[in-house]
Amino acid sequence: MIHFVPALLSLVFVEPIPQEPASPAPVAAVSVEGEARYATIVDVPVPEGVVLEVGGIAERDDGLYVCTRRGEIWRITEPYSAQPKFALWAEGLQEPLGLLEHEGWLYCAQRGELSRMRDRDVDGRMDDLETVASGWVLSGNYHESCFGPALAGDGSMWLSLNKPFGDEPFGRAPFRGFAIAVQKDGSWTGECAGLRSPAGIGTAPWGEVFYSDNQGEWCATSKFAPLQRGDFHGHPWGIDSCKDPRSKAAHPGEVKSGLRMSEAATTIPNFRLPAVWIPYDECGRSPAGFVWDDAGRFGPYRGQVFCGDQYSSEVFRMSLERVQGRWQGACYPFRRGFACGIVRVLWAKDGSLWCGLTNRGWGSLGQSEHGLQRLRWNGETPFDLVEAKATTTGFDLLFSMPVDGASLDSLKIKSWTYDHHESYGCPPRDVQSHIAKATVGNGDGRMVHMALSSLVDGRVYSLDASAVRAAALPGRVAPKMLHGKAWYTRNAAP
Amino acid sequence: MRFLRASTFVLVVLACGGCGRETGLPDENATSLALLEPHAAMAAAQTSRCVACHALDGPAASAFAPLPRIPLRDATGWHSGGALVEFLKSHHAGEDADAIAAMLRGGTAEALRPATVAADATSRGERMFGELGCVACHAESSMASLAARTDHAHVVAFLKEPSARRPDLAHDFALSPSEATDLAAFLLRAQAPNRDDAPAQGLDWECFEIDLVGDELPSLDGVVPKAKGATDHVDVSLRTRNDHFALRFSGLLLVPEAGDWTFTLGSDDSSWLWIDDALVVENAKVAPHRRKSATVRLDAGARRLRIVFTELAGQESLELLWRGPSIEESPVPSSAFARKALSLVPTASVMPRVDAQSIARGETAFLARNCAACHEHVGAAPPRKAAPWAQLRAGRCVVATDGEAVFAAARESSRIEPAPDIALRAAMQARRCVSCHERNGSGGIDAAVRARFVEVEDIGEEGRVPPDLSRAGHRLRKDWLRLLLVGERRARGYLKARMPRLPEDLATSFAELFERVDARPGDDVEPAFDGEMAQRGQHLVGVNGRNCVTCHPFGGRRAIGPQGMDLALQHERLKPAWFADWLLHATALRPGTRMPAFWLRDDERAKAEVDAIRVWGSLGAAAPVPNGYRSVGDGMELDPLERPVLHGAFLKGLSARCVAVGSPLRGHYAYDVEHAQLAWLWRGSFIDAAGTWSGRAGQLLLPLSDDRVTLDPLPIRDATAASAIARNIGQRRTDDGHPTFRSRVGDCLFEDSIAPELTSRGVEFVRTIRCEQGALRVEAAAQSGVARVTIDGAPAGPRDLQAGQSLSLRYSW
Repeated sequence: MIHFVPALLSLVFVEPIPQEPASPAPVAAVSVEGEARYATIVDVPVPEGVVLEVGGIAERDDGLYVCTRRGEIWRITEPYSAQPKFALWAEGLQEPLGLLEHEGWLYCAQRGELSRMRDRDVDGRMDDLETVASGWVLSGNYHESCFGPALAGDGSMWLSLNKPFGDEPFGRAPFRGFAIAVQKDGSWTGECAGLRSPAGIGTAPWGEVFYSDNQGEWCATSKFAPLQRGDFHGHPWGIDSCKDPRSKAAHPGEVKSGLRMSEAATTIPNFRLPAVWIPYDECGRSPAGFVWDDAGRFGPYRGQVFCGDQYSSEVFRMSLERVQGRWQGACYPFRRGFACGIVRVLWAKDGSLWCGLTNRGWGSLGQSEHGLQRLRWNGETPFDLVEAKATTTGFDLLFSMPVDGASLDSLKIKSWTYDHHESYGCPPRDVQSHIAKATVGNGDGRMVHMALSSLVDGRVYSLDASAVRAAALPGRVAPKMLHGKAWYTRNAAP
Repeated sequence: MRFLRASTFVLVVLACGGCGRETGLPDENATSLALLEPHAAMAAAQTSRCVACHALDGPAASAFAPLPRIPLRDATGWHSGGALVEFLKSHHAGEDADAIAAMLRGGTAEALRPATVAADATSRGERMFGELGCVACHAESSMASLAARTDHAHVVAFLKEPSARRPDLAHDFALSPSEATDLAAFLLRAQAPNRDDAPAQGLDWECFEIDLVGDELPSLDGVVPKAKGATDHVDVSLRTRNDHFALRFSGLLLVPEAGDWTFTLGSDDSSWLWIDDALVVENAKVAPHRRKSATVRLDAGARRLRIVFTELAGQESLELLWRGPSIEESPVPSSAFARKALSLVPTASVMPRVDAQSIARGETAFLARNCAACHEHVGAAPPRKAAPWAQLRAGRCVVATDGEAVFAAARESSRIEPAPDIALRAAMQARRCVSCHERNGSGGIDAAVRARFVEVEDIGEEGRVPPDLSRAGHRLRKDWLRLLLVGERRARGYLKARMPRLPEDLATSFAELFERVDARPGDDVEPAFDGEMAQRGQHLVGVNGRNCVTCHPFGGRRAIGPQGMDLALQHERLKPAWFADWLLHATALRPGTRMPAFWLRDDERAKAEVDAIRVWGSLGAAAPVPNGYRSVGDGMELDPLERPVLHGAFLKGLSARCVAVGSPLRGHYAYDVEHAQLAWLWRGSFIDAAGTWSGRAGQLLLPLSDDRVTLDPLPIRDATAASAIARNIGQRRTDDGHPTFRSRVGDCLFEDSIAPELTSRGVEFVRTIRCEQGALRVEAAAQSGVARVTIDGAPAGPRDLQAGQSLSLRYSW
């Protein structure tokens, strides 16, 4: 089925973790074959009988640990070989959706608790499980997922709690739609409210925790945002818990439906705009786990975020910059064609990217329903738009190769905003086209400065450089643009 | 001399017609009656219903009691047209046949109705007629008259509930509605002379790959399907891709009876149902699976059916259910679908109306001939009392004309209580058990029809024909036999031939007779139960032991090879002495059996092994599963075979944070982590994970067994602080996978571990609470839910525990 407008239907129908598509298939601008030249998707063979619906991945010296939505943890040895060996390390967990190695323990978010586990007698089976923190109650709704943990710079562990969709047989549970921070002693605080379906939570190299959320009611389109104490991210479902002494998020008051996003940002107390709006079906559909490439593993994109999508079975990129003290940035296409929706990603020891797959309950592109794949960078640099940054007059676009200035007339720039409302998702509002005046900057010819007509902050800018050509170099054919697309969330001007 | 005379009498009595003629039953075999001497005459008098008029008293009376009276309701529907008069003439009515027929018509005459069945129903019915064993009693040719005198509805009604029409027959074969439909179609095949037996069940289906728009009904006319064929089921499994496709099903819906029918279409995304080209259900929406229903009034017979299903993207599903006058809401069975139908048109004409005078004449004749002695008829006078059996004289009987000597012989034997074996033989003959079952060298399937019985599993003659009943009361427990006879137990799943269900009182009397005739001293001495012995037996049954798993299923788990008898039934079924004897000497006891002789010597060791298997079997289907059986089903039922299986889940009535722990000993429990409490104990099947592992999950689970208890919460306090709210702080797991749950209450830490244990009463649970730190107060009680709780054999009560001390609670029910 196709998922739509659950705000009205949710009493009757329940909703999957990510939303199902509102149109049959995402827009496909370039062929997967073009992407495959630069990044190869490697299958990890899974033995028959193992249902690897990946919820979390951790890699240690003694193997790759994968927890599944069936409540198992598999220890996979020789995971890079053609015949990895699977051994059941633990079972009986409740839909674990994250796994993290820390101080010799495997930390894992179960539905109702943060646990840590180890194998004391080293016989290949978990034999000690400690409940690190619990107390966020479950109503018995299937969608009360718990994602994480993300280890913050201060040593606390962060979890994101999905809101329920439908029946709550054991009664309404508090702190739904919260990000919570667990201290070493197991005590925890509600740090941010207003999350909807926060399937990805992770830590930036500088220790700050971010999360990804899925389009739906009170979530105009999918998004990526920092989790900062006290913020309200827009969904009013769980805000009663702001009155709980454990909450560090203040109650935002009545949340009116139908405000233009800029108005919501200025009138709703502590309302936090995302760092990146991820336009639905332009750039994936249902974002989940993400990692930062702080080591240049994937060519020219060092410092950027690589995020998996649970529906479109792709990995897309995001870049961030700090503008007026807040993070904002852009998202970019990167690599599609995985076998199934991606819920978790993790850098592998060899510099490739583990991608944990599952689509149970929502469906996805691709032929599989679960599994494990690995994305390997082939070393060649494609001609592509690497990064867009805001300037006072428009944007600076950094390309991976020198560009042909004569082709800059082809830049197509549009912008729009969204409404903050209760109904499911929001199409772009107030769409405008902009005239771009672009010049190639000094230096290596990869930077393009672009001034825009009628530039307004608080909007998403679609930057289409797909027809920009690489500068001709003597003795070689100028490569074709791979994507040349970005969607920049210009909350503020530098 | 007496033997000869009595046999003559028997033949005379049989010649009177009896009741076999109506359905083509072959005449009783005089030779087998001879085995009943000196009571052969009595037996014949019972089956020929002499004793219905002429009361028999004295010691033989109970063994040869009159058979139940046959109701005459709807006799005209069974003997339509002129058939009733013809039948009555040949029965007992003589020149009163017309009058009695008029009376039975009662002034009304209902027309017989045509019926519609799937075109291949007759060929399926023909196969069943042989396989189910109908041929043991009925010659196919002798059933031909049915087509000339009745209709499909009557035959189906009889096959479904034979006792309503013939309470004297053991004829309840528990046929399903579709089996009854097919069998009746075969019996009436002459009503459809131009039939075509090509397979015609199911529906035609087509799958279209098209671009769909929302929930609009696509036009499929002129569109070439990507794939097509015939199917038994309406679902999405036939799709050729997962998004943007349409499925169309078309064919005939065989409506079994007239009335209001409610059809329900469930789908994700859209679906439409037409009956006779009228749109009945429209469930068009691009949304998760949901159902929509509509009710229509339909006549019985074949209706044109069409279903269109469309799927845009995401998940897809489709189901079709119905509810009718006598059908609960359920998926429409494949037997209700047909791609081609066959009409059965009754040939008998409607009988003319009769006047009141004729009816009155019939009533007089009915009374004069004492028909009521054998027949129930609404409004008819009760039977007259005729001369008792003891006073009968030759020449005064309406049927027999032989001399005084024959009656004298019968009279004499009626004063002798028949020996139990004679009574048993007589009863087996009266109910025609002997048509199928051999016993002590007589009876059994006639060689002429033996070939019609089929072997489903490769286990030889035992897997083809109904069993020999020699020694049955020595082999089988009386209670088992009774349950078998009423149809509540079946041991021979491999046998296509079907045993009829007997009424309760008849089953009880058969079970008692078998016991009286065959039981031997020492039959029922059981080896004493011992948990270790049971586990040794479990091992012996497995592939590394005597390998019984090769040919014997167990508790619904399939055997590796042919599917012989289910081992889970054998303790309830077989007496212990025979069980041991059979295992040790099968080939000697039943030459030709496929059961091998595993123990070459009948020594102490062999006896000990057999006893261990017996003790294991005493746990029935709840016994631990021997090595070699595979997990049940292809679904998500969790089935711990070697190690404990743990399943984190929402459990109904407990909390959304529970762990269900399944054990290979088949004693399972649920621990409510949220409330740090052991909550459920149960035995048998463990749990189905589908509610947690399929689709969007989040179902509230229950155990797969009703053999369970919900425990009262066990208060465990900090003895010094009276703090009572325990919180789970984690689990330890043993190397073999058993969890120990750890909790904190106040300043105390404690462990809670639960171990199932095999006992003669089935699995019991030993729960150990160990105080790790502080001083605990465990408020145990002698009862928890319906479970008894003991500590060292005595009823449980409160206990204090210091650090390092532990307490064992035993739960049983």
